[in-house]
Amino acid sequence: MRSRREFLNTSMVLGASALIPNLFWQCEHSEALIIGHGDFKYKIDPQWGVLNASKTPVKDCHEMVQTKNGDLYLLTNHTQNNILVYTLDGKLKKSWGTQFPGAHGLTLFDENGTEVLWITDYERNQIFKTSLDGEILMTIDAPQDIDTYKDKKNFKPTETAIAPDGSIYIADGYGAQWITHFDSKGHLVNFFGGYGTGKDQFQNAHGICLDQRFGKTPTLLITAREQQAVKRFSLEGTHLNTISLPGANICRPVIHNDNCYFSVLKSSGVGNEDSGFVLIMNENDEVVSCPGATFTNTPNGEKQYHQSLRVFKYPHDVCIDKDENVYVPQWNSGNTYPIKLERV
Amino acid sequence: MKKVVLFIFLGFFCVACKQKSKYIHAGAVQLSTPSVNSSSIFATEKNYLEAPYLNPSHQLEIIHKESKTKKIYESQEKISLSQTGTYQIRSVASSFKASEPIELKVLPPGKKIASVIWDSNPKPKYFKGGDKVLNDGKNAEISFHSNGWAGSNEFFRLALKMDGEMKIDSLLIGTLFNPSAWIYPTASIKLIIEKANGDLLEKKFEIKVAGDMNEQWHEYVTLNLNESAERIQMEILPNELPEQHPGAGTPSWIFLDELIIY
Repeated sequence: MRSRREFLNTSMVLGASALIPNLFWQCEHSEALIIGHGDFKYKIDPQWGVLNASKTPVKDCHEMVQTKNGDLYLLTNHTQNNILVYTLDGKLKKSWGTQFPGAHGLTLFDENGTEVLWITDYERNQIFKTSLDGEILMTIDAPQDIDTYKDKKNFKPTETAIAPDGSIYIADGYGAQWITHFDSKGHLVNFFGGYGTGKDQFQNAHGICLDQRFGKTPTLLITAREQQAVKRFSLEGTHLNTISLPGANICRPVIHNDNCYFSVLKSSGVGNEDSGFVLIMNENDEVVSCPGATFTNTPNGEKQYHQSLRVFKYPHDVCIDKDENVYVPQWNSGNTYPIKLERV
Repeated sequence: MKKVVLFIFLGFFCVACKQKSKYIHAGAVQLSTPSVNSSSIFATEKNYLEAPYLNPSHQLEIIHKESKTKKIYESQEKISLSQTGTYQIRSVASSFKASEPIELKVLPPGKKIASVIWDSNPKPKYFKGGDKVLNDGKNAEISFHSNGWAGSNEFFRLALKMDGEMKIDSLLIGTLFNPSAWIYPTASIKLIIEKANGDLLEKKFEIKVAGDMNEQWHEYVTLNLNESAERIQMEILPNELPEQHPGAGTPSWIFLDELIIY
C-alpha cells in the first residue's frame, strides 16, 4: 500500500506533467508576432508610452517627432496637453499646450542649432512656430493674397515642411488644397496645387516633407491621401512625378536615412474601416515593407496594398528613432497612446 | 531527490513560460475582414463569390445561415453561390483570431423592371456608373469609390418603369452603410405609384439603418407595397446624420446600388 506522501508526490508529478502540453502551447503562442517584410520587420509593443489618462489624456494622436537629445514629442488635439514629451523608454518627461484644438501637423526644424516646432491647427486656421517648451515664436494666418482664403475658414492646414533657408511650405489638406510657400518671416512667396484630379492637384493634400536624400536637388513630397498617391514637386511648385500606391490612404511622408515611411490611415479592399498599416519605400520609390498589410497583384499589373492584420486602428503618423524603431500615433483609436514597433 | 529536481525544473519551466512578453503575439491579433462580392445579386449556378484582395495564406470560412452549412475554402478556390439566403463570410488562418464576419445576401430573381431612370439634375458627384447600375443585377463593391454606386446627399428622384401594369408586393433598395464616410441610409422616401389607367397613389416611408460606426456593408431595405403599378416614381430626401455621428445635423449621403421588385 502506498503512503499518502507517495500518493501526493505521484499525483503532483502527474498533474505537473499534464500541464506540460498546455504550457508548450502557451509558449508557442506567446512568441512575439513579427510584422513587416524584408529588412523591415518589427515586434509590436503596445504598452510603450501608455500614461495615466486622467492626468495626461490624449484624443487623436496626430504626429510625433524626435529631437536631437532623443526625446519624442507627440502632438494630440486634447487641449489639456497638446504636446506630450516622452523619453525613449516611454516615460513622460513633460507636457504643455492647451491652445490647439485642431492640433494636427508637427514638424521639427533645426534653426541654426536651436530646434523649433511647427504646429498646424486646422480649427484655428493657423500655424504656429514654437520653442520646444511651448513658447509661441511666430504665427501664420490664412494668406489673404489668395482669394479662396479671404474666408479664413477655407484654410485648414494639416502639415508643414521647412526648407533649409527657413521658408515654410504649408499643405492645406483639409481646406482648399493649396500648397502655400512663405518666406522665413511669414510672407507669402508662392502657391500651387489646389483641389482637383489633375496631376499637380490634390484631393486631401495631407502631408508634406522636404526630400534632400542622396545630395540631389531638394524636392517636396506631398501626399494626396484620397488619391492614394504621393506627388513630387520642385521647390518652385512644378509637378515632377506621382508615385501611385493603390489601396493606401497615406498620411504624411517621413524621410529617415535612405527610406521614406508612411502611415496609412486606411486601405481599400478590406471590410473593416479601421484598415490602416505602415508602408516603407526605398530610395527608388519601391515599397519594401508594409507592416500589418500585404499586397495583391491586380490584373493591370499594379500592386494593391491592403491591411491583412488588425494591428493598427487609423495610424496617422510614423516617427522613426535612431535605432530604427517606429512609433505610430493613431487617429480615432479610442484615446490610445502611440504604438511602438521595435525593429528586429 | 530526483523528484525534487523534477519539481524545480517544472517550476522554472512554468515561470519561464508564464512570463508574459510585452510584445503582441499572433493569437491576440485579428485578421482583417475580407472584402467580398458576388458576380450576381441573384442565386444562380453561375454566381461566384469574389474576394479579390484576400491574403493568399488566409482561407475563407463561409456559413450559409439558413441551412447552417459551413465550409472552409482556400483563397484561390471558385465558390458558387447558388442558394438564396445570407452567407456569413470571414477570413481564417492558424494562430490568428478569425476576422469579423461579413454578410452577403443572395436574393431570388425579382420581377423585370424595364428601366430605371435617375430624374434629378445635375447628376450627383458619385454617379460614375450612371443609372444603369441600379438594376444591372450586380452587387457594387463595398467601396463607395467604385462605379457600382449612385450616391447623393441632396434630394433626388428616380423612376421605375415596368412593361405594363404588374402586381408588386415589395421594393428592395440596395444601400451602402458606411458611417465613417458619412454614408448613412437614413432618408424620407415618397413613392408615387402610377397605374395603367393613370390613377396615382402616394406612399411614404422612413428608412434608417443602424450599426457599428466603424463597419460598412451592403444593406437591403424592404418597402412593402402590395399594389399594382406600371410606373413608380421615387423621391428620396436624405435625413440628417443622427446625434451619435460626428457629422450630426448635416445631411447623410445615400448610396444606392440595386432596386429590385417582387
